[in-house]
Amino acid sequence: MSLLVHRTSPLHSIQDNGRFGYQSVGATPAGPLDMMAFAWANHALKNPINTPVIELIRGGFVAEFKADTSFILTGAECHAKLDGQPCPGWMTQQACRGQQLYIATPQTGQITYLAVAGGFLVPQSFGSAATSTRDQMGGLHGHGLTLQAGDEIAYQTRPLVHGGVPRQFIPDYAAPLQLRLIPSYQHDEFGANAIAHFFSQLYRLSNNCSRMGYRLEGAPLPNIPPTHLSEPIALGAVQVPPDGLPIVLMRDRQSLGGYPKLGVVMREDLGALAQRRSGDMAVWIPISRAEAQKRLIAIQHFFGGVV
Amino acid sequence: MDRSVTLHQPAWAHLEWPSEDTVLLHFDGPLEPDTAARIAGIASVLRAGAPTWLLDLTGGFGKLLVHYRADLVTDTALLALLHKAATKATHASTAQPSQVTIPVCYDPRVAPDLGLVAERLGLSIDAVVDLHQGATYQVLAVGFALGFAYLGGLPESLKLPRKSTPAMRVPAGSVAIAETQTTIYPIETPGGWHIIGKTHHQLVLRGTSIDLSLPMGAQVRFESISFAQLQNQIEPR
Repeated sequence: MSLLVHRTSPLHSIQDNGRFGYQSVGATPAGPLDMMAFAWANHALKNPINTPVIELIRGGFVAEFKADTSFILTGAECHAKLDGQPCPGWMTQQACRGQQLYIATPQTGQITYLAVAGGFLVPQSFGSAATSTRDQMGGLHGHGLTLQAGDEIAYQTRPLVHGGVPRQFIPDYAAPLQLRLIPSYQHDEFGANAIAHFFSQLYRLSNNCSRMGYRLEGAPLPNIPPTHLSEPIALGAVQVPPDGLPIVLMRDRQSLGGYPKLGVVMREDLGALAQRRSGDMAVWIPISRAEAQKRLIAIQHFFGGVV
Repeated sequence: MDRSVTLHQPAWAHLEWPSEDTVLLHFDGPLEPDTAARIAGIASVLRAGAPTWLLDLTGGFGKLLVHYRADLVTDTALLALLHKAATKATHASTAQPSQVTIPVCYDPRVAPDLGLVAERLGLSIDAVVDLHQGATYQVLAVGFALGFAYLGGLPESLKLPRKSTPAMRVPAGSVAIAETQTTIYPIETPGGWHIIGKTHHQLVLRGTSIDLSLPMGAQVRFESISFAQLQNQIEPR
């Protein structure tokens, strides 16, 4: 009773909503890069929000369902086919034993989530199934390995689930990206000139983006404040090293860092950023913490857990 | 735009709210042993009850980041809970911090930077070793990598800036110094600290949970061993 992986890549991993409680020992929380698409996948299948799914960055995945199951693909549209038949995203599908799932490279967006009803049965590794390669935690065997061809990822056949994500909540990853920033950390140490630059210029995603951080390119910010003693880093923090170009710190970030930070990207926008590719453009606007918090609480109430 | 902190600053710590569901506590004296012990104490009190609103704690250099469930606790209620924990930690602070002695081999065969460090400091190699193992250190922060402890208390005469170009490969178990701190690399990684010794001391114990031999606040001493003694010790897994 499993999904047999035929073709995969080192960018494919098992993720749940993250490993909490281990940052004090220096471990990364890991978890889904696009938490909104991740949460919708589990929601549509009526799974608890922290159910393990497969995160597929840049597609190129082939696998065989060894047992009947309902499943869903959310996130980047990847021209998936089930035994040659088109398999649209954002709505549940039914797979029968022996059927092959073929996932191509997405044309817009870059991260697709594959979830099954009841979830993949992956052992908990320090409280979570989330794969952390660096800390050798999580994943299929609990050692932080990404998926390998030949892996068999267990699941149980459940009664059919029919569901989907309402159209208005399906994002367009080709749309212009507006990132909302909660000004915090050393925001006030950046001069008015640097802040004005930051909020007025168009940034381009660099080709140096990973589960640790997304780098943005543009005109370097002037007068970067000095590097301080390392301090704890929140998810989505925007650090600016001496080169003046911002880096948004993502799920596999280090727990401490000393570069000055402009603030933190609103949680809801982090997934939208994660979906963008090298060369895509982004602009920044400020949002108050109170407003961002209200939105996060609403999202967490809706999905019934932590995003 | 309104950036005003919605809640007043309490007397027991300075507060900052970096994101929707985090609060960052600042304490005075980021490099003081007392501060590290205080943060470790508060973290331990907070964790003790395993409250559902608490997601994660990241401490270091006078700061403690509390990642909480904003959908389960209001900011006002959170502050009261944190204050209570801080008060409780103060009363419980008579407990001695854990003390660890770590055997280190300072033989040049496993201490590639020792010669250059001595030269740059204008000291003999023996003097560098004596100074390094003569001091008592305290874990001021854990981060960068799983089990990587920043140890404060390095004698002023051993102070050197980091390497201008980090080494591509620092072996696990390397004992290294930079600025006013010393550390032990828990895993092989690129790194910019100067390597002056080697230990087989196990920093990370993986069981049902993760235990560190050098948690925040711990006191640490180094004890010189010979190359032969190092080779007789079992390398950690």
